[in-house]
Amino acid sequence: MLEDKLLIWKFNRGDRGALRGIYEKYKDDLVTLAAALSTDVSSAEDVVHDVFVSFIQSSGKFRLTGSLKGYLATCVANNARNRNKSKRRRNDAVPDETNAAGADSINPEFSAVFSEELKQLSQALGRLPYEQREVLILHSYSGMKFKAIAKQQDVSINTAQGRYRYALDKLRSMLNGEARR
Amino acid sequence: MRPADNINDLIKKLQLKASAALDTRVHDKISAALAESEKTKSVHAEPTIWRRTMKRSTTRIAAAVLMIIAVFIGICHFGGPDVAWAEVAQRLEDIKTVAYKITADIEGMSGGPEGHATHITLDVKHSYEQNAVRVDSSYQVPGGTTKTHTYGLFEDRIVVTLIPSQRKYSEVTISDERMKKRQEETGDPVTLLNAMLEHDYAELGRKEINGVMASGIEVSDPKLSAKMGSFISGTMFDETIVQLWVDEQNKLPIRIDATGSSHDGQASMEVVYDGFQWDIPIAPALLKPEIPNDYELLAQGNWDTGNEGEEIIDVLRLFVEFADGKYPESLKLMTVAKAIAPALRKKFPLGPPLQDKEFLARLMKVDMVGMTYATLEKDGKDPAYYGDKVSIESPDAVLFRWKIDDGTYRVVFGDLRTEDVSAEKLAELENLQR
Repeated sequence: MLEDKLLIWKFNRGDRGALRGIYEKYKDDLVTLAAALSTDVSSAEDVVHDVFVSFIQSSGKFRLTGSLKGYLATCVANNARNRNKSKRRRNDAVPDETNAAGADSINPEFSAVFSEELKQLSQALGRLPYEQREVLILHSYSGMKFKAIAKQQDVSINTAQGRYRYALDKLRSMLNGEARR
Repeated sequence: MRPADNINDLIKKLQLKASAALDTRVHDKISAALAESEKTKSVHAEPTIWRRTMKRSTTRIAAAVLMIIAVFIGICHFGGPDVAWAEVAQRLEDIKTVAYKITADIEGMSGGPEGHATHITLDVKHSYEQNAVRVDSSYQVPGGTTKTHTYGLFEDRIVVTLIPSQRKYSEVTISDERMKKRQEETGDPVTLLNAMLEHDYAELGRKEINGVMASGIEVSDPKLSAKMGSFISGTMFDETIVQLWVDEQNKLPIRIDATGSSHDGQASMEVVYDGFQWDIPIAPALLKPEIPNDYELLAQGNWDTGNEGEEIIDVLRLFVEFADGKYPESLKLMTVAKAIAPALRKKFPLGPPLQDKEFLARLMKVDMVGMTYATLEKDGKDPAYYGDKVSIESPDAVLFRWKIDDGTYRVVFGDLRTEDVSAEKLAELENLQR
């Protein structure tokens, strides 16, 4: 945490090394988060790229109130959500439940790097409705609290927790081979 | 059925690596954005930079001016092991005024009596709000005490020093360009802390200072001094060790101890900064000099930029004129001052020719020689100085050189002749004297 504060302090003074340090420190986690949300590695990298471009522009005025990792994760989630909305609009309002961003559209390289078990998980994640997937990933992978996730999704905490439970139930079903029955 | 915990564990195992392509894209953006930011700052944010630069530079510039009267000492470092560094830096950024006291004992100071230490006390009042600083100095040597009052007036880009006992004053004007160039080495607490964090430091642990629990660190990295300008002993002495103690409660410096010495061990100093008072009210009148009508202008100098190498040659010329062409071993202020002082005393046994303004202006360049050389280093001019083995008796040996453009160096030979040569030719010349 202290190291992050230092990095931010230097970043705000235009220290190129600090900015690179922040990127190197969090890039893998952010790419993973974005990929889990978008289920597509190349989109995920675009998300992370865009987030850092915006972040760079905040140099000199950035104020860190929580954790840097949490802040960047929130930025990634926001960017991924916006992209998902655009994609949905382009697909002319295909119902989210049937959008199945995962199973068919999942980038092969995303699955290829995982073990069989994780591959099944990533494919199952792709079949979850976006909002449920987002709550699950932000809570379980990024450790974000339901209150923060609810604020991001502009829903109540109960709704966020409900989406989390639904997501878990569906994943459990899918991973046990029950989803297709 | 998989329990939820198991699924959560699986999710946590998800881990991708950013591709090399993404790395390149982001790093390129970082480079481009920062380059653009620098350009924008220089074009649009000039007043801000100027203001910040002026704010941060006065104390050190004031220090430089004081050297002509006696010899000025200065060291600052900030940090601390049990202290959150970013918090300390942030606290310092928000500071509007600070007053503190510096006490220094210097042995082997040029102009001082042999075998006696010169005791210096400086009361510093610095207002970032008013862009001004005042330093009330007392130089105590056996046989007398000299008091001076120095005012750094940022907006006017001028530093004025009054010497009441002689009813004289001196002025140094500083060009805009010079002020900008010194932005990163101004010696102010925030810049120093930043520089310190980039270097190795040793943690000193905690101790109680005047009933306050403090954390301390020590820095002796010679690379640090080059970034710290003349107010730091790095440009005065060859070796310095600085200890900084920060109040653990309010996250602000409480005491700085420093020692410095020349390579030959003939000059040394011990300095303490303490009595820090942060954000105290400082009346504007305190920071403005009132020069009585009967005060005579002792010396007038100009601190410009772009001609650092030539300024150093002017200093070296003093050694040809007064010291038989035996140059100082290094271009650290104390080494240069100590080397030239005996020759000047011999030449002017009744004291410096105060009526010779031009000569006094040349002496001012001695005061700034350490800073001037550090500026060449900082600006990537690749300077090198060989006064430890070259004198006027080796007229064709390279005494000093610096880069004047990408492929060309200006070389100063032992007889102070200058010649612009290619990097290859310079390598040949320097190889000859190895």
